[in-house]
Amino acid sequence: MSIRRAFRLFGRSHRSIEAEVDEELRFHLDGRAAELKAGGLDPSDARERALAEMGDLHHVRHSLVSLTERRRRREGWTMKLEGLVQDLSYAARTLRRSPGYALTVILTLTVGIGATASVFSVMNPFFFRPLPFPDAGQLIQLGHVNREAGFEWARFSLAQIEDYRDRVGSAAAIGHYYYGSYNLTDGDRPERATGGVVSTNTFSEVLRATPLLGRSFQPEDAGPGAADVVVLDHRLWSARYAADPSIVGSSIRIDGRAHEVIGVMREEAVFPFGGVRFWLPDRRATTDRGNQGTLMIARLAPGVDRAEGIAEFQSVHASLAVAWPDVDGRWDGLHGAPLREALNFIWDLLRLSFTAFLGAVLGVLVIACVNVTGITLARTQSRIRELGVRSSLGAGRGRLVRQLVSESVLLAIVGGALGTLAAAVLTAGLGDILPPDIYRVGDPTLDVRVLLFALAVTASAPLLFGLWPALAVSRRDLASLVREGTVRGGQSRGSRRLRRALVIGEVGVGVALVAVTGLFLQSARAAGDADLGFEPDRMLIATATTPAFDYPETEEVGAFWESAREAVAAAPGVEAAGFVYPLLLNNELFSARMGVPGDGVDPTERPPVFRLWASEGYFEAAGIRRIAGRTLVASDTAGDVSAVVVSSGVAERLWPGADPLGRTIELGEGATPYRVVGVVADQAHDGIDGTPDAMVYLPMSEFTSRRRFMVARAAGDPLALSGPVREAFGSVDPGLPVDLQAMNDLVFQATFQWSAGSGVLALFGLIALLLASIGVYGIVAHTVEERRHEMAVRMSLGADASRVGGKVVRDSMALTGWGVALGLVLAFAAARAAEAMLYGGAGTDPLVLMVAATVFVGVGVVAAIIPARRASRIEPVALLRVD
Amino acid sequence: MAATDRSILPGTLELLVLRVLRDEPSHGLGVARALRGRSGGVIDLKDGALYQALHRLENDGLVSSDWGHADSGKRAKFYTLAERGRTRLDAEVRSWHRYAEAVARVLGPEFARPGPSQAGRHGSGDTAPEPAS
Repeated sequence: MSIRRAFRLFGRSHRSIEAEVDEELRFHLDGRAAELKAGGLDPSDARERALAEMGDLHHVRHSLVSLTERRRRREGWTMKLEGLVQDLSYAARTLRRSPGYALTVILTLTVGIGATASVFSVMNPFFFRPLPFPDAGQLIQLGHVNREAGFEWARFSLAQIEDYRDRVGSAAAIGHYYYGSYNLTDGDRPERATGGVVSTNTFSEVLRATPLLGRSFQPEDAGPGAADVVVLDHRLWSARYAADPSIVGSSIRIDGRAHEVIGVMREEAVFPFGGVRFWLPDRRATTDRGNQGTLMIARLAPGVDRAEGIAEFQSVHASLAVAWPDVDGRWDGLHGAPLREALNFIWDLLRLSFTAFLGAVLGVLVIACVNVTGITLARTQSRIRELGVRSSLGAGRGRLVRQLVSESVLLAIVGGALGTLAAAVLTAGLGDILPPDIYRVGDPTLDVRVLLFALAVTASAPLLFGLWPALAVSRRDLASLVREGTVRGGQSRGSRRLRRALVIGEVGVGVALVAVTGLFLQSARAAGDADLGFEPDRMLIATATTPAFDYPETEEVGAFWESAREAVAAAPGVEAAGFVYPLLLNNELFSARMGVPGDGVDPTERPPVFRLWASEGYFEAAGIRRIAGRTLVASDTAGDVSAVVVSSGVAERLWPGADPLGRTIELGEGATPYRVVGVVADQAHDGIDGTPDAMVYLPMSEFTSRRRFMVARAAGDPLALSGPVREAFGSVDPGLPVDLQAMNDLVFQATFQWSAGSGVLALFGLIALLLASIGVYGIVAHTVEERRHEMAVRMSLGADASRVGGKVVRDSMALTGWGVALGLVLAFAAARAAEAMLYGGAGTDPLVLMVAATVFVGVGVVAAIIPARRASRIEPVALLRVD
Repeated sequence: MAATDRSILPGTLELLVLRVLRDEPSHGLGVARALRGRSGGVIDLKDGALYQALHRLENDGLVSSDWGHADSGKRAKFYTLAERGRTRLDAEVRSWHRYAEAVARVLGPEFARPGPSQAGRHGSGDTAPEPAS
């Protein structure tokens, strides 16, 4: 019955339903007439009577036809559903008979989908998810540019920001902020937290972020005599204050002072980065134009193009540079960028990493698709015979196609489900290792669109190549194929060529990925081992800014820092102490042009060198290697010419091969002379990139800014000095806020770029190696399997089994060898492309390349040997009978 | 309802058709024959209505149909009681007897007649006495 029903499914027309109804009714009328005739009526009366008993024949016929149509339509759907379930369970049975194939495809889909979807999902909060602020495209951040130092985000002073507020017409609002770390001491859980100090219009006018509870800042909050207020970040509110809504209006202690909580921001309102736990209004009233420690953001007016807006800021800078040549004029210009990009302090790097991940993912995806394609091709190729037999036994073409497709569908469903699971797990795992301080919108969550994309790409491979033989079947006369036995050896030349190409391509991409991964691992290792020129492990950094109100004169600032240095140096556990500006690796770079008297070069044309100011004790505290002479002391400004300590890079450049001590160096565009009293090692300053920077250290007494960094050297863990150092500062000025951090935090941030990507890439490399090995094994083994017939023929003709086997293995080695060659070319190109991300630049690691090459050639050999040995053990005659 | 009306009560046709098919699969002509014979000619219905009932029952999944060959050798459409039809028949028969009994009680003993109306007491609903065909 079901066969006939199935038959009806296809194109049973309206007309045939009518015919069927007619047949049923005719049978009845004929039969009834015959009965009546047998009961004694004459034939024509009997006929008449039968018709009369039927009633309105036309109406009956019509109603039966429509009833039948309705039934057919419903049956159609049920049948299709039943058919699908049937097809799938049949496919499951078939696949269970070849678990190797099924497992390979499923594993490949899982890894391919999981890797692609998770990388996109993890990157989504950084690049694609929109900022949580209305009309966020109008938000920009500005920075001073120091072209020589390659620095674009140097800060502003409040006086400068006020000038921009007055003059830039295309900005709807200009805000400013900085951040620091504070002690939360209310309750019994003192906690150190990063806080943002923002202009009162930052939330209300610039970001336009509405608070979850209470209010954000108003201009009065920064006014004279205003109470201390704080707005909490959602995470601090949840974690420390148990998400208690009544917190608004109560008071918490920040750095020992009571602050009234006036509001709680929404969870998504991250500013300027995820680690910030609360915000204070900026209440400074400094007019010191040179105290440039504040960041400037702006919301451009509606309709203002970003480039135009930034251009107006730049032209204002140009006029300010004329008015203030010693302050604004020192900068090369102004840089502006969308807020998302600017807040993400590793934006360029992250974008590069993303590109690298993308490359790796695409590589893995290519391998995955090649795998699935290769083994599906191999499998279906050998099944053409089976299909031919079934076809000649009368299986419908549609039936065969449906069966093949349903196998692929089943694999895609299972692989897709597992891939989704893998993507979810990977996304969660990768999300956990990302540093919270990098600006992002929300947490990484599985991106559905990407998941669908990955599913579509990977799952289409088995679908396409599952369908291919079915189409081949329908094109050709299968019975003749079977008769001729041409299918036996899988002799379709096109298919064989395709498979060879797949192996070569797969090995190539695999070798390249593994090689590049090796480079990244090596680069991460090298960056971790890099000689920085100083010893960060034992350095504690205390940052403080002496307020202009308490210390109006430069001499007073200098006196404070000298007293603080003595107090810190005397604190228990401190081995050495000194202060410096700017701090190494802190992304604040100052430079000066350098030359020697009489070198004939215009001072404004001389090469730049990094310039720092250091106090007595600093070099010892930072563990900077001294090469010759002495370091700076407090009395170094006495006399006509100040002392200077240069790094070895400077000495080699200016006085190659000569003793620099006692010589004169001219610094700056004014060619100010300094006498070299000491030479120290070059130090990593502008990032950790494998080449320590050349620099000069001037005496601190020449430095005028208020913000400086105290470096304290500990015998062991530098954070153990936190208490004593804080007390030491307190003994000099109890009211001065001091921020503490371990120097290694900065080193970690600087090396993060080398370490972060490499872990993930290593994972991809491993996956690529695994997948490609599986794929190569599958294809080669299958190809050799197919050659058993040919091998049997040769052996029956007297060829030596080991020689036949050897040829098969050699063929496989040649194939993987071509792949390795392709891989080397690809690896070379990829290493060049990734150069900027590699510590110490691009290179090729012969060891990694050799390992990758050996693995793939080895896989090829093993994949050939196993079936070849099996073949050579069988009696040739028996083999000939197989198939 | 006129006393002489011999047309079938609404809803009972399906019940009777299911009952007939319970004995054996049959084509429409056979069902018509059985209905005429078993009711002693009392039940008079148009054969068209019977076929409509058969098709409705098939659409409801209570009977299934298949083409086969009649005794005459001609192709005929045979109807078979489906499992759902069997369950439905039991339920319908029970409710029919409850109804008939209720009607009999309302009519009272003075209108009582020996016969089918007593059958419901026996509980198993499908044992209504059949007149010889």
